[in-house]
Amino acid sequence: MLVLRTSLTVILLCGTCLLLQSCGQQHAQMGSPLLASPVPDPSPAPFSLDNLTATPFLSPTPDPGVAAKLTAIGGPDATMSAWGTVFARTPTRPPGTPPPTAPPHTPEPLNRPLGIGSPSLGYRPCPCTFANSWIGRLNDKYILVWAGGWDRQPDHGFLMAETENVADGEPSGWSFYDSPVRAGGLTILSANGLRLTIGAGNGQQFVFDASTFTWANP
Amino acid sequence: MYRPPASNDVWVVAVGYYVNTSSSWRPLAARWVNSGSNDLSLPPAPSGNDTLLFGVTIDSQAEIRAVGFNGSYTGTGNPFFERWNSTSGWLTPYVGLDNGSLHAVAQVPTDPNTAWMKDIWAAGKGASGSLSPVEHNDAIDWQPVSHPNSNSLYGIAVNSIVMGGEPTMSFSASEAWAVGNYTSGGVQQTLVLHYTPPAVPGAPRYTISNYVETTDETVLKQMGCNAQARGETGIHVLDFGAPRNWSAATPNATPTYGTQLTGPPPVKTVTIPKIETMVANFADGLAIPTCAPSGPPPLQPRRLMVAIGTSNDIEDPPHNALNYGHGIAWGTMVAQANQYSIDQGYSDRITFAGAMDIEQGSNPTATPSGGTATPVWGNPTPVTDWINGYVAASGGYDFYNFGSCDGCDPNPAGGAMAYGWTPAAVYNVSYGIYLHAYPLPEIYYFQPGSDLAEQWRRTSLAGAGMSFGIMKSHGVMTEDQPTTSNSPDQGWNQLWQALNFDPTGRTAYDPPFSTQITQKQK
Repeated sequence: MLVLRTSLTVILLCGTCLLLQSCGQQHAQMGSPLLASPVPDPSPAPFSLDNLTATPFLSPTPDPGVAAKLTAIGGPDATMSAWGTVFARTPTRPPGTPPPTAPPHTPEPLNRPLGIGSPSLGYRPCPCTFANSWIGRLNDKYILVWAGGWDRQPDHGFLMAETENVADGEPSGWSFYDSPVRAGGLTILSANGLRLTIGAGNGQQFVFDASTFTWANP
Repeated sequence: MYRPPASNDVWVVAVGYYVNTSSSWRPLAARWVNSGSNDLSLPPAPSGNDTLLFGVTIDSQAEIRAVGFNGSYTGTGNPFFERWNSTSGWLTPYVGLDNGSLHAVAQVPTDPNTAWMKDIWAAGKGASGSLSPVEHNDAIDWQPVSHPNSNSLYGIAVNSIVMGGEPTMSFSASEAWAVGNYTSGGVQQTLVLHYTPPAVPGAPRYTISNYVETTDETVLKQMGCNAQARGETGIHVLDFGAPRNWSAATPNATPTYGTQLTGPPPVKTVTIPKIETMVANFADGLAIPTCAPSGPPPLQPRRLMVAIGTSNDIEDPPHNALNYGHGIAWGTMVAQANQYSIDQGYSDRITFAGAMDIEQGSNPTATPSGGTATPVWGNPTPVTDWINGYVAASGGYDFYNFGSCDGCDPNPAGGAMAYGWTPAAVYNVSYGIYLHAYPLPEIYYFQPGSDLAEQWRRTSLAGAGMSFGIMKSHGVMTEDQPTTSNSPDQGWNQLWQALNFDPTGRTAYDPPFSTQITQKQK
């Protein structure tokens, strides 16, 4: 048995060795994706502000996709889409003309409207759908709470909340608070100070303390 | 073997062949459910041919894949594929193009939430003088995989690869092993073939793009300064929100185009001339010498494509602004911004492009009960109208689609893309019908049911037979929502894996850039 197992191993190793040689050579010639051994994975260079100027970084290399696209269509202005290339063309304004001026700038106070409002943000911070929102104020910060549910888990409701400096609008960044139990998508029903009554899709109600971003007992 | 959920049943399936009374070789399939046996009643195989089945697999959705041979038992033939599911029974079989037969099939088990993704491999024996066939199915179709050996393969196994901490996901293909034999010097030798996906290169450094939520030009100048301080090279999107026409309510009025900025209320709006001034300030900030990072100069010159973005909106159903005229105004603004860059001597570092966050629709079934449904996004026609206007006026400056591809997968079951969108339509507005259009896809999330990278691979495949072929994404956009979002490297890696793991290489591409969009006004 031992002899047989050894023989099988030798055959396997021989076969694999031959494959390694022939595969490797032919792979280079044929561009085959089937390999006999994996390719080492080079570690990516870490992103750091400290080494931005000292480390070579990827691009701007010519884009083969652009080249393929240009080959396909050609045309006199084809190279204009080569990345980073700017062509001087017939000016749309006389050279040297300053850009259109905007009205003098007045620093804009945030003036967030307080209370329950629209779910609109203008962008999607998560794979989710919002029902409505609430904005409150605590000292020098706005508190923003959006209520909704995850798109792929309709029974999973959550609140998304952040604070913002009233003075400069600096946001803390959104954080997410799942409902205490899965009860469907959430809606902000009412606010009593900074305590929000939250309704769930199945009729359950919860209370969210917007001063601490925690769920409270109703 | 398969265990139906919430059941004590165990399915065992087997395939084979028999010789009928006409001396033809016919396929055979059987399923045992606990003690009973059920013939799966294969439909007639292609007439006039011998058909034999040699290998079978069943996945977690009870879908059966069987492989074998179709042709002349004593002559030549082709690989043969059968597929069965509990909804449709046996589907129309597929006859491969290779010469030979398939003897084994295996697939990576998939999470029920990702049943729309498949990773199935089959291998077999080539006809005399032909390569042994190896085939891969990515849920789109079966494709032959090239390899260098003219031999026989009798067994295959696959192994899911852990990527991004999600072992149940597959990225168009995973690791596969096939075993068989080959002849060397008249001696039969053991053969082991191994497919391992290509190594993922390091992700490019990312830029930090901005949702512009301010009308303060000095903030834009500071954003430009910050971008230079970060040493940004690549694409930097300034997202000015949804297109608007402020005079739409007045009949026959000259349109007053602009946008409604993103962010919490109160609503802020800007006109297109105001946007031009703001982006000019961004360029000024980018060029301030004192904003440059300290230390030695970079080894390569830094260049930034500043993509001035809007969206196809969710709140403009009459398309008062998502139209050809707004596209003309946007394209004119981009051309003038570039003229400003030239005039100021920035053009070796800064190019402006147009951009749009093109999305396809919310999931109506996910509307929170008692809440207000998020309106669906526009259909392709006004988007195409807008881009046509942009192209007509921009003078050839690039256009980026930094949107999503919602519904590009068939999940949830029965789901479909909204309001006339198709993968081909997404391909067209992102790449396919415009010389200077490129995708910068949102790869925001990575969770079961939301494999955005795989959606974009499929969108790219939609263009395989169309004008410009597969899409060449210029990069990846991620979002800085720490709880739910991919990091820039995770997002870029996911798209790279989806595009490049496919063993046929048909979507292979190396997106050169990466950007992360933030609501922070920095």
